[in-house]
Amino acid sequence: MTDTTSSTPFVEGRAEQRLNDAIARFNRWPAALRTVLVVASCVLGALLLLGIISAPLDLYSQCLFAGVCFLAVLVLRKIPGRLAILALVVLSLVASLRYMFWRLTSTLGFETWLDMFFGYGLVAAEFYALVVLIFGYVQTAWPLRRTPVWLKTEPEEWPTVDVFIPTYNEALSIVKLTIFAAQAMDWPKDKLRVHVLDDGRRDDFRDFCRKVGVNYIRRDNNFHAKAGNLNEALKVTDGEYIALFDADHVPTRSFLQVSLGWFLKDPKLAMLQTPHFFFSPDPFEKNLDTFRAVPNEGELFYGLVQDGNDLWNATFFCGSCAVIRREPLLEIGGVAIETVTEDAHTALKLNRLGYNTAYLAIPQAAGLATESLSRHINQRIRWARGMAQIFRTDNPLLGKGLKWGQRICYANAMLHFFYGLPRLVFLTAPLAYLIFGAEIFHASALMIVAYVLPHLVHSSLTNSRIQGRFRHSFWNEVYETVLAWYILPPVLVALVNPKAGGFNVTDKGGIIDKQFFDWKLARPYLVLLAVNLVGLGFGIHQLVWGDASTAVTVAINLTWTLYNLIITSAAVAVASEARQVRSEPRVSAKLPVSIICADGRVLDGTTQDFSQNGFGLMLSDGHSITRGERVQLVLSRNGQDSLFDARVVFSKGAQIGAQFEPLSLRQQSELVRLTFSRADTWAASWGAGQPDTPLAALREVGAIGIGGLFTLGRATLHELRLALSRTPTKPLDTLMDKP
Amino acid sequence: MSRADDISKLFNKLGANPSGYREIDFVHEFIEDEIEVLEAPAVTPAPPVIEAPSAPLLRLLEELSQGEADHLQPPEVVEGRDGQVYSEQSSPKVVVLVSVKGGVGRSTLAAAIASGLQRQGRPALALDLDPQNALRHHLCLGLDMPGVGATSLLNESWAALSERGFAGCRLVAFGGTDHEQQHSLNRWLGQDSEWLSKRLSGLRLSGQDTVIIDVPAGNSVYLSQALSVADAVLVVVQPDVASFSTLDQMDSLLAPHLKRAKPPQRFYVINQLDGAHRFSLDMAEVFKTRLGAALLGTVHRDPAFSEAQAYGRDPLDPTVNSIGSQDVHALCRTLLEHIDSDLP
Repeated sequence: MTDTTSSTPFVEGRAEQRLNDAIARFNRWPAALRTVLVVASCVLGALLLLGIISAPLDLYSQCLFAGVCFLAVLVLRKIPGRLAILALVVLSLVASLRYMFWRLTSTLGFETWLDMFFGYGLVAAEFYALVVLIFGYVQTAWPLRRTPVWLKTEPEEWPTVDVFIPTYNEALSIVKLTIFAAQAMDWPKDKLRVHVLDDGRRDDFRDFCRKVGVNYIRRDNNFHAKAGNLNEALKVTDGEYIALFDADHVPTRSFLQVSLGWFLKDPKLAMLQTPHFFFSPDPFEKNLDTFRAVPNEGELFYGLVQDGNDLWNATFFCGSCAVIRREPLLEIGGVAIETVTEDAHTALKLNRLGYNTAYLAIPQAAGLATESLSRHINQRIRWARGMAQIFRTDNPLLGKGLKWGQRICYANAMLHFFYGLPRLVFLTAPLAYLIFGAEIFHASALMIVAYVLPHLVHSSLTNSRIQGRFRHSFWNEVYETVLAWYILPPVLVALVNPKAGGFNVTDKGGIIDKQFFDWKLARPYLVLLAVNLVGLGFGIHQLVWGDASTAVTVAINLTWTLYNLIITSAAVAVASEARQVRSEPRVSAKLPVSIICADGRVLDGTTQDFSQNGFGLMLSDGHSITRGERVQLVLSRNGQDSLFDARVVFSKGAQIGAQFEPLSLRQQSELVRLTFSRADTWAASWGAGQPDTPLAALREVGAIGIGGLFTLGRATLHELRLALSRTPTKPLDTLMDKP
Repeated sequence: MSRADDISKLFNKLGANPSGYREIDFVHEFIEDEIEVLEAPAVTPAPPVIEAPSAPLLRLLEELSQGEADHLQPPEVVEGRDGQVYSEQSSPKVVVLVSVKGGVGRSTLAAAIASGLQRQGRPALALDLDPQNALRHHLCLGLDMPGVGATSLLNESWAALSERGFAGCRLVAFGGTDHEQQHSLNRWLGQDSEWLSKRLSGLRLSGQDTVIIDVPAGNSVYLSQALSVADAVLVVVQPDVASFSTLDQMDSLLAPHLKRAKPPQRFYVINQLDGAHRFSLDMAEVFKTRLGAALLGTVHRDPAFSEAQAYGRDPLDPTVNSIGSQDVHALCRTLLEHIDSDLP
């Protein structure tokens, strides 16, 4: 696919300009006339849609209809612009609703209790998937793509900003990056107040804050975790705006100037969120080696979903990398404390009071991703539990103050986390027929194909077009499969009793000193893998020796099982924890550096990566420096040089690794300003990934699945050998925190 | 003024104009520990580089802060405006580079200033009055140029001697001389105090020209001759204690010439400042305090200069634009400001 139209800066196509003009003209008509026209066209459209989805067709007509629609999709997906996306969405809705209508009216004549159990289970899961699909279209079909508003006034007139950096158990070596970067933001110094909110009550933090000259706030309890921590700080500060950064999210120096403009333009704006960007790979990327090659789990949310939410004025607050106006926040009683996802709930409360929330898709801060799969899972468990809690206690579909678009966006965000059970159903559904012989689909095999195929193909092609830059096809299934089993119980518990369960923190910055296979964590995937393999065996048996009349049905179920096997083995691959050598966050970026050698030579070089402890450098002109030599690294900005003493700890040809000698606080601050808080580093790699091509994505997921099977085989052999040699195996520490 | 590259790149990506962005300078006081220990200093601690202020430096700093010694007062910059003019209005400006001790990069700097002035549109002539005859290397001229030494002994005019070097600046070399010739020159120059003044007029330079004279280190007849015609004296020092201790000696060397009717302006330049070493920077501060406004500029230590000399390249080549060459250009500008202000 060569679609680059959605890359920033966004340029409107001609068709789109015409559409915008037409909408503008339409908006000038009298309000009453507009209402009548809108209602009339809605009714007309609804009737038309109803007609199309309920029209009974026989097998051949349905095939013909599906074929025509499919051809239309093939043409449409090549056309750039948002109009084509809307057309794709309509076609996808027609196919999926037709399928669901047919499914509900013609396939549910179950005969036995077993059929009924599996059959209704499957149909419920499908119905859930359809609702999420439709809500998702509403949410993402037309991302707002807000651009920043620049401050026009003089810096003396800019408002005061309190920067909150809540921390609980993160290491000072990580938090100090954030503190230095927060201090270095380009904002008048008398109007920028940095506060470290230490819930860990650590003295080294207090001393550090005193030395670098930022406020240190400590409370005598830990009630309501992060939300409580923030609320306490609200009481002792008085800046007009609050910028929030998790302890490991390092802001760029341009953060405030990029994000504050909208607040001055829109007086009802209460919160502006920017993306959470990660400079280290998350466990998926690390264990599957897909960092920056395949969009990660979070990219869909920050790349597309939030931008789509913004259209409906339903941007969520995500707890960090955001700016909040103090007044509205105090009006809703501070940060919400009722649930474990205080951030989303806070935004919901703001929206309910009629305040606006906004999203700016420019990464202006970056942080550490969770290191291990178990921590990653724990984090998602918390999100899922919190969202379920909000769904129960403050359901966005009910209550006052929200527009229907906002209701749908919030509802979808919460419904999304209910995928645990449906995902497990889809992963096991074909087994009901293959193993137990249950007739869960009361229809002929060919009819099923004629209805299901358009539904699946349309929805995946449409989503591939909408999400292509932020989520590749089939990866959603992989991500969900890994998490499904783990988020299912907490979501169910939270739905039944929202008060149960505590708050857990994801701590970051760990080392995995050797590669290992996380057997305990992989157990659910191994079970799924095993039952699907059994199903495969049953299926092949039936195909070869079974009744010829059911061959097609068996083949369909076999295909489905095969697909499930691919996804499940990819999930198994994720459980193989790759070694993580470096304990410090390291960022790949190319910055020009001069190197002053001990003998006075001045060499030029480019960084390959940097951390707060050293640089990886590539020297120009084929120079080299021997290991152990002391050098000085010179970084400059606007003609001002900053020098850092370092020692070469690695040297291979023109490639060297330099480690800093102990730096003074001033030097550390300067280093952060010249590296981590550069304005462009994160934005440059934003949305720059490979766009999706479904077939390539399938190949990729397939290859990862096969790799996963190999890893599993190796790990099994290893365990067997250990067992045979009778060495008492140490229980593997899975790093799993207490839930 | 262009924006820092990260801001312009960001704005470029957003398709916006970076002129709306305000860069706000970060001035902040940190309370430093003795040594801030980082989490993972995996390498074994090496013997520290001697960067702490050495004992003499500490003493100097102490003296300076107390202001007890009157010789530490900044010397007054004498800007003579009136009085006897040694030559006509159309005569060139003469700048003499001097140093008490050798090896401070005086010749390198003389050549660089000559070609720097030329690059700034001021015709310059470098005159080598050092029997070492080294200035020609710095301007990349032929090895066997005839020079002032032998020519003067034959009582011939210097008019034919000048050759073009880097950037088109002219050089009058000292030329090869043997021991006997040098001895004769010494005697002659010791007796005829107007030797240089007469010889220079033979070069027929205009008021637009600037003559840069390089003389041997320390006291010599060449120094006296050069000072007798100088409009400005540029004392070259290195940021070290040895150079610092020569300041008094230089004062007494210059004293007689500063007493004359139209004394030359006296300036200082710190050469070979090593920005990478605390001590060097500290020492430069000491010089600044001592010299005050008489300190005309600072030139960083720059390996590009020795490299350029080795390969016969112009160290001020704008495509290289090393830190040293930037310093020299700045120095030339300041120098011109001062000697031009002397014009009626």
